[in-house]
Amino acid sequence: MAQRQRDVRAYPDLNPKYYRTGMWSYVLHRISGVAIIVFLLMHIWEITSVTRGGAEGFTSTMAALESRWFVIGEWMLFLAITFHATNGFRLILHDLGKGVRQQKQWFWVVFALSALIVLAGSYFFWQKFVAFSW
Amino acid sequence: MKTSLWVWIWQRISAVLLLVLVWVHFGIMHFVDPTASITFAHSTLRLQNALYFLVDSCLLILGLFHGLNGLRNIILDYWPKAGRASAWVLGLLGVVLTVYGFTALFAFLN
Repeated sequence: MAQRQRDVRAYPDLNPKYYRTGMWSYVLHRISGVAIIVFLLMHIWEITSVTRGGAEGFTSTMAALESRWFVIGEWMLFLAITFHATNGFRLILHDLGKGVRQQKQWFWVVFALSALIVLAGSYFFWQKFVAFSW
Repeated sequence: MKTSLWVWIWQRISAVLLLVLVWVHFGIMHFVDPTASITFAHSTLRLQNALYFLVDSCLLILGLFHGLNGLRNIILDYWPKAGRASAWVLGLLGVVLTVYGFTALFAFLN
């Protein structure tokens, strides 16, 4: 295999073939972040139905959003926020100079912690999911 | 201190505040005070409470700042030349969405 060209650029190589732990954490942080801002924009649009349609508009919008599909959406949001929050906490610790040399181990701590929170929380989402009738 | 450094620090401060506020918001909506279906009447009762109103206002402002500044960080990584323009566009979008979001929050108070 030919030696890969080392070029200097301001942006990261997004080819997953070259990812190691740090890049996976970076990419997951980005993807979850973009997912959350997309949700936030939709959430603002959904809540401001009260501005556009008053009390009836709000209540009917909320009723329209009551479905199993939205429980799946909420669960995915829960997944994204859990990872983004725990990993973000790690990033702030590194910014403060703590544990930078152990960043790889800390990533796995973040991963395990997120998995635990998601597993525990998923139980409640499952209950909410099965409570709906199609 | 330069503006860009203040923005960097506020991305961290808003992160820590959001960490607490999002879980408070989530816990209230799903565990403390869950309702079978969300209605205008119930949301009005909720937002008459100053604490709920404060939490939701902070979530709106901090969430938009953190999210849109995150988008700016992504743009800066791939298209550094667009840094200034994107800051203005996203900043304006943030102000417009904050004001629009507050029209909903205040609609519940009347």
